[in-house]
Amino acid sequence: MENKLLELIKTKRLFLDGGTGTVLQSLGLADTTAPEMWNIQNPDAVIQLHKAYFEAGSNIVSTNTFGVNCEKYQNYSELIKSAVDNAKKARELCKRPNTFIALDIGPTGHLLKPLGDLDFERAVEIFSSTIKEGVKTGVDLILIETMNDSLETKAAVIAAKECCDLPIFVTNVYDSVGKLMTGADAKAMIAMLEGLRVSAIGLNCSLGPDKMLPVIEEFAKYSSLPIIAKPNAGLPTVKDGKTVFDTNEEEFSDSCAVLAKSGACILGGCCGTTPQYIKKLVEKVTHIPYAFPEYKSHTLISSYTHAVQIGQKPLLIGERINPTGKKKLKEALRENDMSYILSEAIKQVEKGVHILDVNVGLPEIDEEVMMQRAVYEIQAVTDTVLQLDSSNPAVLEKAMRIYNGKPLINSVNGKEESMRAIFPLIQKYGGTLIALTLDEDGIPQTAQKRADVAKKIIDTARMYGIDKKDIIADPLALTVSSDSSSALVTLQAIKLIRKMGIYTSLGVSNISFGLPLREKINSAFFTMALQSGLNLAIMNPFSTGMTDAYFAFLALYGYDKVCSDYIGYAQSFDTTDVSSNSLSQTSADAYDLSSLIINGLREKAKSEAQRLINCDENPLDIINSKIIPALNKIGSDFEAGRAFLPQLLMSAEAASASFEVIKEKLVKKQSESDKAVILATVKGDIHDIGKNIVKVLLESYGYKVYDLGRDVDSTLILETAKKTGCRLVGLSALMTTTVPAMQETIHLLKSQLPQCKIMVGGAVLTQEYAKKINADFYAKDGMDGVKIAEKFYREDC
Amino acid sequence: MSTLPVTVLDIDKNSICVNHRELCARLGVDKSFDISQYDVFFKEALDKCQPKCAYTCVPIHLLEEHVCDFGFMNVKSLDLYKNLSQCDKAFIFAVTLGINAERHLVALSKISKSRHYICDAFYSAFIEGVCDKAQSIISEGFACKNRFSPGYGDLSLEIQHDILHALDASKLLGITLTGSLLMTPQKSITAIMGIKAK
Repeated sequence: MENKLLELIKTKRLFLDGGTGTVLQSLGLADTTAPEMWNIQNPDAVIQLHKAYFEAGSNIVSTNTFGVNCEKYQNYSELIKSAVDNAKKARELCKRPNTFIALDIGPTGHLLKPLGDLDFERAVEIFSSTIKEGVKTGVDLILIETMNDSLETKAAVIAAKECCDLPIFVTNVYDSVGKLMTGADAKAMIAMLEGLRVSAIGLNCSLGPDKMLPVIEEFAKYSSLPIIAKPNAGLPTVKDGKTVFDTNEEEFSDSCAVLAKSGACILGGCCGTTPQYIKKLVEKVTHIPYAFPEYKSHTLISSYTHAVQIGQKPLLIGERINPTGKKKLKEALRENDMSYILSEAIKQVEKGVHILDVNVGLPEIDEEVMMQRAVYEIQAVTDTVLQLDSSNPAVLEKAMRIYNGKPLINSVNGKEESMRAIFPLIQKYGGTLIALTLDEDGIPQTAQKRADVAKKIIDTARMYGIDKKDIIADPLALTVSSDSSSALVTLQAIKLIRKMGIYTSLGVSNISFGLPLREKINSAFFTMALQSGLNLAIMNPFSTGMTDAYFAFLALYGYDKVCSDYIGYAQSFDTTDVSSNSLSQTSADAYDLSSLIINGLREKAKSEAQRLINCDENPLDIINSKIIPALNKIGSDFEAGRAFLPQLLMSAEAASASFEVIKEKLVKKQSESDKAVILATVKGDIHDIGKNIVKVLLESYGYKVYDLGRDVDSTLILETAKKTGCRLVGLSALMTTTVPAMQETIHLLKSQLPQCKIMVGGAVLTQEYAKKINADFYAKDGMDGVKIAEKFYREDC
Repeated sequence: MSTLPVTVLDIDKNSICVNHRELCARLGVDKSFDISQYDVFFKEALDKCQPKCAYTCVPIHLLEEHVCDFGFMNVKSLDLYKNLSQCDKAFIFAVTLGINAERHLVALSKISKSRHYICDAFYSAFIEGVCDKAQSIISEGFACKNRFSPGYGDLSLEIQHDILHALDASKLLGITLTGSLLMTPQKSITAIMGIKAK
């Protein structure tokens, strides 16, 4: 049976309540008392508040629980129960039909990882505990409001979906340029929240009703869900020590009428508004004709800042974060080396991809854990939309849960088993699906049969409430080396599927498998596929043939007005060393590798190292005669005060980049892998500069560094030491408050792995202190850290 | 949500003077060192900044045993107590460079340690400049003491929570606290600035 509230909203505009704090203060709430305390201390006032809103015309009042959660209040359960009871009593006193009670959920006040320290699952737990209490006491809907972070919003919605079947309304706080505090614009939030299948979406707080208009218009353009507007009473100013808002009831309600005409379906007020504002609002808006939002057919995927709309110009999906056939990536995954994955992500984004494919599946690693980590870390360095790619539904679920936005999902196929596993994930977390046109009978030989499989997938998805706009069909590129008609079948399938109103995607380079000079075939096929109507291409953005084909196609097909993208692309071939723009070269032999390293010119040093290798210079000679002397020179200059830390770091990075090039030519010696160090900033500390300096320096000297990051649990350090066999651990802490965590880590390592040696460093540490907490070595600075490692491994040999 | 009257200011980042000595110190270079070679990194960092300030003004009472009563919190600190002598009110404020600066720092820490180091140094010097600017705007027309921040002298970091709550800093500025009382964005400062009694 359809929910009464959701039924009502199909035909009728609804009204929310207004400010809580403003009214309670007028009833005597002191500055120093949290409004939620009155649920118990002064329930009559809270009942009076709700009653006044019901009488003013609100259909929905929200419980006085904005600031209540289990982290803040031990008695949260009592506070929530009283809050709901107060709202119920107010409703009974009013006896109006069509009135509802919303459980009000505000933000936790903490920022989620990777920027903050609140774990996503902990956030879900916090919200869940509140929602369970509210549902138990009998609310009609969940109102998640005043959220200024998209990921926290998602955590709250998931908690609500996991705790109840009630309608979920979500409002976020947008600033004057239409973005959340953490960066998402309206289109990105619409994509994510529609994907999460909430009941109504919109905005509250921060802005007055007039300033909300552009955001409401954006919602009206892209949202198929009812739109909520809950503005402030204008802008707050402080007068005579009191906060006052600059918009009166009349102006407020006039502006709200404009919002209603622009598409706002559910209206109310936020800070500074009172029952008088709502009364006026209801009066002015009730007569405005109401229409439930039209269905919008845009296919949107999103990150935490923006949405990408599929179906306009063709888009590129970078394929480089997928271990198939990539030795270095496999090695990085086995060693838990995120830096390689992140640099692949950044490089592809710099090449202009719109979406990054992320596949970390290798038989010998825990794919669920690695996928979650990769998603977190990649989202910390780029806001590019991700395509989560795994053949394992459990892995996809883990990644979809914490992904900040609405992802592209690779993939489902026409097999019953696949659809049964994947469609519920889309229902729960949202996402747009790549649908491979194969089923229990394998890959159809003809284009029509592939289109038929696409149709079967779309029909089945509909039964799960997944619209066809969220299905992108992949008609599969199979190599022409074994079947000369395969390209033609695929191209024909693209055309057929596009005629069905379905967008298409393709792993383009599969077409040339088994052939020499694959890029030549790939790029020609790519152009043909684009011509046939391909919307998304999974491809290698480092392949010039492919990017040539893409930018030329856009220019020739009218997607690139005044050829600006093409010209930009052409100019990208005029490459320069970013660092050389700013850093002067001082000596005549500036192109000597040693000088390039000393001057910190990373890209030039890397090119020079490559040139030397190409000239068949002995790799060991390059290291011993060019890199090490350069590092020693800058190191001794640093110690003598002739060079400074930024120079030391830039030199170290130039040396590391050169070393990477040369390493590929080195015959790996057994001892090389032993020369490793585990580095971590201890639990509770988020300062990682010192640790980073040591890492760069160690890497420049050829060490393998297992960098566990900042705020690291002692158990992870222990596990890494056990797993890698690395016996030197470097710990960093900058704050006195986190030194106990360092001591605890040392204790754990010493008790479990007595052969492990620990060096420590950081602003608050001294030689004596290091000794006191039982560290083996104290490094006063980064160079000292290198010396300790050099000595450790020398004596160890 | 705070119930105190809080004013929010957008600070014009182009109006901020970065103290050269401070920047050199943060970079760990001699003040004669030519830091202009890092201008491209500084500019990139500056582009990401959205400096903001939120402040309120509260009456204060200096109680026995070096306890300062701000209405919304009581703080025991000899150093703050001395700083606030002769004051009957105080501005409580917070400034931040914003979440984009934080994202930039986090991203750099993962992709280039040297650029991360240089950018971190720049932001540290820049936020001091932002704080100076905010202080001059807020204190205009008042005789104020030097600002005093949690962590100075014996003033505990524990009060960060109360200050940020009073300023509604999570909603208005996007500043949140970690479990170990560090602010995110890292490049944020909170301070108390006493107003001398007339």
